[in-house]
Amino acid sequence: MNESIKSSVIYPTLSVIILLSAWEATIRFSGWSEQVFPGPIIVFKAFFELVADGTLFNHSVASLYRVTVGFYLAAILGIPLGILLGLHRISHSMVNPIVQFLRPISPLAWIPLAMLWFGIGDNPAIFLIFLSSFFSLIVASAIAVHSINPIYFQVAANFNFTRRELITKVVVPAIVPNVVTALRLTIAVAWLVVVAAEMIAVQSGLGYLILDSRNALRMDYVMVGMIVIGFIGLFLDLIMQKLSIQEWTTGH
Amino acid sequence: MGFIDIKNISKKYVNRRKVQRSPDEPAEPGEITVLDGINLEFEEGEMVCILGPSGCGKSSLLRIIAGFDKATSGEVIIDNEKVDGASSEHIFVFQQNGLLPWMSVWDNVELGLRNLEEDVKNERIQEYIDLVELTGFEHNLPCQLSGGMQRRAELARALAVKPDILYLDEPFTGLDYLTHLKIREEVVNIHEYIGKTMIMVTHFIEDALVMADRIVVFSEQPTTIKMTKKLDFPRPRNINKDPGLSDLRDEIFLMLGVSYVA
Repeated sequence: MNESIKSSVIYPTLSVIILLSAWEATIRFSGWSEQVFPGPIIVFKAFFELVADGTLFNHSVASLYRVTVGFYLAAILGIPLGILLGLHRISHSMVNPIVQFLRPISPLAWIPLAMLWFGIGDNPAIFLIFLSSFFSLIVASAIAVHSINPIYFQVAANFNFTRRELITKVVVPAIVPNVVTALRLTIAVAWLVVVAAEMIAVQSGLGYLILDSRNALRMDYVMVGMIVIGFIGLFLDLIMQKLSIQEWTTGH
Repeated sequence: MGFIDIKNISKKYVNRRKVQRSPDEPAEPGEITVLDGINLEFEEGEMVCILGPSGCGKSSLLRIIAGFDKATSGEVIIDNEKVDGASSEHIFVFQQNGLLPWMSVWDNVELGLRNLEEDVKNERIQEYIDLVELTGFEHNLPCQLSGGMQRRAELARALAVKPDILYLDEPFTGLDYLTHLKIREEVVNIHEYIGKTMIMVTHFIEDALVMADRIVVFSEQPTTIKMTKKLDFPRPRNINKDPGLSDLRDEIFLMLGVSYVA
């Protein structure tokens, strides 16, 4: 049998089946009630219930919407700012301490302020996503600029590049691999943050679904929520991976 | 007053990490004098080879002449103008990684020609790619070229702008022996073809003897000049067959404290 089919399809499927069986076996013998610790078959049923009445779809879309908008804003503002800081020693020494100070403050600690400033609904969640991604992307972009081989700057100087040409022809192409890596890491964090933010600040989304289901003592819905969160997170990462492969083949 | 005047150039690097020069002295931040009062004059159109052991500051000197680094003291005057930064009239060919890796050979060669008209530009780019025998590789990325081809592409890029001076920083680094010899011949031919000043830094004594109109030999750190000499030997040069050249080779090897017989 073909080696790659074995490793990409057969083995993972095998391990998932083993995992599900172990899960089912555990709840059968654990003595916990179905309500508290549902098995895979129950969760499966719950999954179809939620898909059928559209709740799963609506909540997923809500979460994805917030992540997309917040992340996009963070990238559009954060990456250019990071590039500027990377190129300008002076602005770097002025702005960097502030960034390093704000960055470790968990986005979740901003929830009270976010709710005060943006109310409830999409906007505070988007703000939190933005915060979590913004600082990471600034720092990653600045570091990427700092690690550009100095020779390229000398080549640009030798051929009389204008400031603009330096940025478009040297800096931006040079930092693409590093920035794409940063985007991958940042989107993973953004997805974590949105789920957490939804447990506190909003009335829709997968995080809210989990909280709401827990309040209604529907642990099976809770687990459906968790599994869907995991799959969407995986999916987002795969998209980012595709992005980085494309960059490699066109801009080696 | 030569075309290129190097006046009393010194270059010190401050070593921020503490250096202990001997077991008795306390460790303190050190200052490394890489160049110490270098005075040189080059004529227009000359092929100059700066020869010296590793770490003797020859690349530092070349970068100072080219305007990429500033000397600690002294000045460089080219064609009656003080050097104050890099200029597209004096192109530098880097030791390694000089090509922009995200651009094809064509795009790299185009770098200096951005302001030309479209057809003139395209003709010129093709002309110089053909000159260095990279025809057919126009759209290759640097990572898709061998070391020798990358070096040739960088030469094409440098020559395409028809610079007044070409700086070559150890251009044969990382090349296998055969490619090294081939490119060496190509560089000599290019110099004859364009007739402009070229300053090359190398640690290959034979290369300097075979290629240069003028040779400058540096000592070890702190670098001072051990010898400058105009080489009037006819080309093509064969060190083994010309007694003048082979004597000079022996002299230089002796000067640098190295023997090529083992």
